Formats: sequence, structure tokens, C-alpha cells
Amino acid sequence: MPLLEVSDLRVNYGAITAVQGIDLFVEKGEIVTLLGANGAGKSSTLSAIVNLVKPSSGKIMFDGQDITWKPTANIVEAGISQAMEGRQIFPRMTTLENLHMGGYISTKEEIEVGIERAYELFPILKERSKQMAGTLSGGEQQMLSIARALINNPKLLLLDEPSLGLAPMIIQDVFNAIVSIRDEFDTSILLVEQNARVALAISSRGYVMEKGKIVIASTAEKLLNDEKVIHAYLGGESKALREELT
Amino acid sequence: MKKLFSKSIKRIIEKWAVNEWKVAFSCLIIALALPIVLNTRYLLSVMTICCVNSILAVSLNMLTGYLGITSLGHAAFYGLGAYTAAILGTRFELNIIVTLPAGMIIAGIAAFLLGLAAIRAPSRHLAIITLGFCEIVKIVELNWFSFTGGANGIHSVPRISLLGWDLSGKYAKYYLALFLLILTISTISLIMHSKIGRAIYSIRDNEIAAESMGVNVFSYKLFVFTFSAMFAGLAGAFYAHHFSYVSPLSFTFEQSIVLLSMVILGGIGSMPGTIIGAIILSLLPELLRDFTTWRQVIYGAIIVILMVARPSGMLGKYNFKHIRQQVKYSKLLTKNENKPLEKMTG
Amino acid sequence: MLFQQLINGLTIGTAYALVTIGFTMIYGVLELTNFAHSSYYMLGAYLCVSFMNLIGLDVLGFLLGTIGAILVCGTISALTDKLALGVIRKRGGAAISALLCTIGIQTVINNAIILGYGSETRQFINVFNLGRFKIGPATVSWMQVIIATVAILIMLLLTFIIRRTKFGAGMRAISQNQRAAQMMGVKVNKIIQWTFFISASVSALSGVLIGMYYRTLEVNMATVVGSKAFAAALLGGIGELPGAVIGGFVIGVLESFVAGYVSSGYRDAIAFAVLIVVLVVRPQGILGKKIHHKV
Ligand SMILES: Nc1ncnc2c1ncn2[C@@H]1O[C@H](COP(=O)(O)OP(=O)(O)OP(=O)(O)O)[C@@H](O)[C@H]1O
Ligand SMILES: [Mg+2]
Repeated sequence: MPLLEVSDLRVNYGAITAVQGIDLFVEKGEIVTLLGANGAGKSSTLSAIVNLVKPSSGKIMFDGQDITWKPTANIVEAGISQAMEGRQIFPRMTTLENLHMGGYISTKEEIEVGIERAYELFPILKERSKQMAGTLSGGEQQMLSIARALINNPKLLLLDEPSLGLAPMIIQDVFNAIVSIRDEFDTSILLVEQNARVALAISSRGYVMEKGKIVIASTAEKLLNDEKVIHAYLGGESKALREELT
Repeated sequence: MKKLFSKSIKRIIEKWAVNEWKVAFSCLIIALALPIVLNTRYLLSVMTICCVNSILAVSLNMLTGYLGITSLGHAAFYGLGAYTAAILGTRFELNIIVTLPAGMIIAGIAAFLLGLAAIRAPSRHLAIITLGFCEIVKIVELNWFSFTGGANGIHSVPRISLLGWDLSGKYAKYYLALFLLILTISTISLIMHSKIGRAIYSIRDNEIAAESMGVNVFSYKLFVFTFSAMFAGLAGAFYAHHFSYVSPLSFTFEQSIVLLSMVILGGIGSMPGTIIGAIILSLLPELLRDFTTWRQVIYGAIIVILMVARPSGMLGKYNFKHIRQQVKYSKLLTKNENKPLEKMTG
Repeated sequence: MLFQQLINGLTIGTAYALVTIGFTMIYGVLELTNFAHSSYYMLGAYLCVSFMNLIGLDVLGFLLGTIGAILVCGTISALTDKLALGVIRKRGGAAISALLCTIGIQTVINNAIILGYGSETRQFINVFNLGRFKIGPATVSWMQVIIATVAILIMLLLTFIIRRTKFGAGMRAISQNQRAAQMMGVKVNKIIQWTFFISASVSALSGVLIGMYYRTLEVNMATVVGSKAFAAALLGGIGELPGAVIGGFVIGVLESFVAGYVSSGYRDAIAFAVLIVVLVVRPQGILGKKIHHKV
């Protein structure tokens, strides 16, 4: 049984339908990428999994439990953590206090261990530990947001565009960190990324979303060679397009 | 069942949005014809009060709904207008040709000076600044005995007359109030549909962006603050002649809250909503008259229930312009369902 | 004379400070101006007297009555959030809708009190009767000392809760970023409801203390203190506990000086005028820090 299994998930915002009945799953120890254009419904999917946005229908199974429509706090306790889109840090708390908030449901000892690991992954955070999070640079905030999501040692980590706004060199660091999170802490990861090539390179599988639907579900390798994916998300010209142009 | 209900409401709103002008015109006809049916002194007086409160609410909506500044002091300008008319009327025996504009001007000057000093403050401070101003005005009215009559107020403000005609009959007063309301609505609508209106909306939606696009935020805020106070002054001046009595207790901060409630209840930023809110909150105390003791409790409970049931006010969620565009678009779609896209656009 | 005015001002200021603390707690967490807040101040005082009439007009009756009043007010306040304000929040209502809702709640409570107790002034018997003593030229009553002591203890307790406990961390997280707080596992609604409970309890307690100090209960005591608390909160820098305390003291002292030296009729007018000037000159309040938003 997969760690996370989403079936026929729908999300509405008033009259707008953002997600129209998708299925996806994440196995234990896996990194899975969710690709899609702006507004495809990726963030809505992640928010719906943790019930930050109430799904209008569908079923979400996690670790053998039905977590559909459960309060977010309970889902977090069950072991899902999310680094949300747009670095949702607490601006008027220090870096360290933010990390402590990440361990809100954990014991003191767990928090100590978690913070140590976070500092290992992102050493810069240790230097900034006393600084107000609102005054950190964008990249530092992004790292803080990822690190904070790890403190409570989740079984599943949802990452929404972790590389957004980061310098190319740092992007590589972040992706290295993601891999080591999986390897060292045995955390499964569902990754939403615009940097499709790098994301697929560390993933085992991927999904492509379009207008609220999943249009392709395949292994990362196949996606990397898929005409449509190359054209739309990898920034390369596909063979078909090239022929059309000439 | 619930779905059916919300669907039919949606249809009604759509119809309303598409025929906004027709609906407004019909409402006007009804308002003009209503005295034929409701012809007692009491009912006409209630309707007159509805008009006065609508003027106040519509003008407050310009400030709170369109510009986004919450004022807890609208009653102060209402009171300034009323006292201006009462003092001019009793001491100099001036009639409404002079007293109504004078009420507007005094209220406007007060708002301009207050705004000049304070309008730059963040919006949550403006709430308390206007509240404080309202309290100060009330206290001055209460304590400046020689000028305002203190707690006794000012009695026997002259009846309404114009060029020698006596307009103090029950019908005349209602129609005058209705005329002033229409004047207020059309002036504010005209402004909001002009370039100035667009600038005002842009300030509400994002002040920093508006400023960076060259909108002079300070001047616009000051303008709207002053303008909205002027209409409150107009309503106040009329009120003084209507009841021929003014007292500081009519223009308290609680009254400001009632006015704000009208705007929010009807749907903040919506002109029809504001008027509906004003009418409901003017009628409610009259309808609850028989429950004397329970009246205020029921009144409060109704506000709570309405806000929980419709958190955006009654019409607050509907943007008529938007709905009209949607309806137009969907009609186009159905008409051109079978034709290729090129024909539609080209 | 000067010293006496100062002491009287500080006593009233303490009451304002206590009411303001609760007010500012809710503002801090939800950015909601809770108009119903001062109603608990009045309701607490009335309930305490009722309970004392039932239990006994002595110190025990007073203590139990106070606890009862605190519990009832806190519960009502938490329920208003659960049944009304929380629902508006969940449905994505505008901030101003919640504000109007609190106005409705205030109207219900204040008028229910008039309904239940009548509108004439009632007596609040001072069960302590401890007398007074002199400091230099000024007279201080022991009741004033009690009020100050209780107020300081409450302020310390609340500061501890907000700064040092998990509950407080949750509160601060909600005030800074509600969605992120939820994602950390904070039970947002529960914490908000408890915040409403605590805030109304403190308000009720100050109503009891000040009622006993003045030995009277009046049906307009809520409106009188309400706008002052609002003013004090902004004056101190809204959302800040120490700011609320200082704001409350400033308003109290200012008021008592104006009443003593200028005219009691214009007491409130001058207090508000000073407030307006302060807010125009120093928008962030006395203690508030200027917040730089990162765009
Ligand atoms: N709170 C909201 N209210 C209304 N509509 C929303 C809301 N959030 C998202 N939407 C709409 O839902 C659709 C999907 O949005 P979502 O944020 O899930 O897209 P996304 O795939 O994450 O896009 P991006 O890559 O730009 O982050 C969009 O059309 C968006 O406008
Ligand atoms: Mg997104």
C-alpha cells in the first residue's frame, strides 16, 4: 500500500474549479514530482491533501488512515509536513523561533535533534538564528521554510516550488538537500517544481497537471524524454516542433 | 433545496445586474408613488427617515466601501450639519436655501481640516481618530451651552419653507428628502464612474501600487473624506428642519456605528446594497417598537445572525459590472456554439 | 493635589489597562476590533453582584462571585467566537463583517443587562472595608492597592503565557501567519477560542474590581470604558501587551488631570484630542515599532 494515496480529488473556490478529480500516489521512500503550468492546480492539490483548502470531494489515504477533511493539525500529527508556496515564514519571530514552531507538535528532545539536522542541511541558518525571519533574504527564507517543515520529522514532505527565486547555485544545494532528506531521514517527498529537469532528475516518478487534471503519469525517465513534456516544461524544442518550423 | 434556492437567487441577481437601470428607475417610480398608499403622517415620517439614513449611508459607503477607510465618526458631520442649520434657522431665521448648503459647507470644512491633519494615518488609526472626533464634537455640543443649548439641544428650528412656500407638510417633506437622496446618489455615482472613481478604487485595492502609478493618494483621500462629510452635513441640515429639534444625543458615536452597520449589512461597496441596508436598519426599530424592552436585544441578534449568514453583506459579493460581462460572454458563447472561433473574434 | 490626581489617575488607568490588555490580545491574534469586549467588563461586575447576593455579602461571596463572573463571561465570549465570529472567518467574510458582528454582540449583551437588571444605578458593596492611609499629602485607599496588585499579577501572568508557553507561541504564530500556523499543527480555532475566553475573563475581572472601587454599577459603564480601551490600545501600539498597559495608564492619568485642572465637562474631549495628536504625530503608538513590510 502506498504511503499517500489520493483518489478523485476535487477542489473548488466558489465557482472556480481548480482541481477536477485527480488520482496520485506516493510510495514510501519515493520522491515524486508534480509538474504543470501556472494555475494548473498544483498548489491547490497540496493544500487539499493537508486540508488547508477543503476538498469538495475525493478520498485521501495516508499511512493506512483516511485523512480526508481531517483538521490540518491532526494531519500534521499523522506525519505530513508542507513547505508552502511563497515562504510562509513567521516574519516577526527569529529564525530559531521559526524552527521551534516547526516542532510545535514534537517534544523538546525531538526539536533539539531536528534543529541540529536543519543546521547541518542549511548551515547559513545557524548563522542567522537570532535574526528576525522577516529580514532574511529571499533564499534564506526559502531554506528556513524547508528546514522548518522538517523539524517534526514527517513521514511525508510536501514541497511547493522550493527553488522559487533562488540563485542557480543555491538551487543545486536545495535539491541536494532534498535528496539527503529522503536518504537520511527516510522521508517521502511530493515535489511541485517549475525547474522540471532538475526535479525529475532526483525523482522516481512524475505527474503532469493541466487545467486541474492529471494528463500524464509516468516514470521520471520517460517524462524526461516525452515530446510534450520537453516542449512545455523543459524549455527545449521538441522534434515535432522543430520539424514544423523548418 | 438549498441549491435550488441559491440558484434562483443567482438568477435574480443576474437579471438585476443586466437591467440595473430599469430596476433603479422602477424603484424611483415606486418611491414616488408610495405616498399614495402609505399616506399617514407616521408612515411618511418613517419613509423620510429612510431617505435621510440612505443619504448618510450612501455617503459613508463612498468613504468606507469605495475608498476603504473605516470611519466611526460619520455622525459627527451629520451633527455639524444639523447644528449649523438649527443655529442659522433659529438665530437668523434663514430658510433651507441657505441652511442646507451651509450645513454641507461647515461639515465639509471640518472634515477637510481633520483630514488635512490625519488622513495620512493608517486606516486602523483613522477609525479611532474619527471616533475621537465624534466624541469631541458631541462633548462640545453638550458643554457649549450658550451656543448649542447644551444637553437641552435647540428647539423650534423653523419649518421648511422655500421662496415663501410652506414645505413642512408630510408629503412635501418626504419628496424633498427623496430629492436630496437622488441628488446624493447621482452625484456620487457620476464621480465613481469617472476617472476620479477609478483612481479611488485603485487606492482601495492597493495603495502603494496606486501611488506608484501616479495617483495622488493623499489628495484623493482628502477629497473623498471631505465630500462624504458634506453629504452627511446635508442630511443633518435637513434633519434639523424635519424634526425642528436637535440634541447632541442624536449624533453620538453609537449613531456612527449604526450608519456603518447599514453600509456593511447591505454589502460594502455596493450602492443598492447600502440603500437596502439603510432601509432595513431604519425600519427595524420601527417594526420592533412593540417589543419595547426586547427591541435592542433583538436588533443586535439580527445583526449577528445576518452577518453569520452572509459574511459579505447582502449584496457585497456581487459585482454587477462583472456579472453583466459574464452574462454577455455566456450569451455570445451559446450563440456561436457551432461557429468556428475565428468568426467570433474576427 | 498633583500627587493625589496622579494616584487617582493611576487607579482608573489600571482598569483601562486591564480592559485594554484583553482587547489588544484579540486584536493581536485576529486584527479584529472587538466591540463586545467592554461588555464583559460590565457583565462581569453585574454577575459578581448577583452571585454575591446568592452566596453572601462577604469576602468569600466576593471571591466566588468573581470566579463565577469570570467563568461565565469567558464562556460566553468563547461561544461567540465558536458560533458567530469563527463561522464568518471560515466563510471568508471581510474583516469589517466580523467587526459589525461584534457590534451586534455588544448590543445584545448591553441591552440584556438593562433587561435583566433595570437601568437604574445599583450598589456594589465593598466587602473589604479596609480603609485608607496617607502617603505625604495624598490619601490612598487599600482598595487601590488591591487593584494595582491584582492588575500587576494578571499582566505578569499574561506576559508569561504569551512569551513562554506553547499556547502563547501558537497565538503569536496565528497572528503572524494563520495558514503557516495551521501547517505547523497549531489548532487555530481552539487557540482563538481560548484567547476570547482569557480576554473576556480579564475584562470581567477589571469590571469587578472597578465596580467595587466606585461602589456602583451603571448600565453605561461598558460604553464609557470601551472607547477608552480602544484609544489606550492604539496609544500604546496595538497588539503589544506592555503598550496596552502604558496606554491605559496614560489615558487614565490624562483624564484625571484634565478633570482636576481644566474642567470635568471637557475631560474626555481633551483626552481624545491628545490621542488624535499622538496618533497623527506617532502613528505606531508610544511603544509600537515601525513595521517595515517586505514587498
Ligand atoms: N484562494 C483562491 N481563490 C480563488 N481561486 C483560487 C484560489 N487559489 C487558487 N485559485 C485558482 O485555482 C487555480 C489553481 O491555482 P493553483 O495555485 O493551485 O495553481 P498552481 O498550479 O499552483 O500554479 P502556480 O504554478 O502559478 O503556483 C488557479 O486558476 C487559481 O486562480
Ligand atoms: Mg502554485
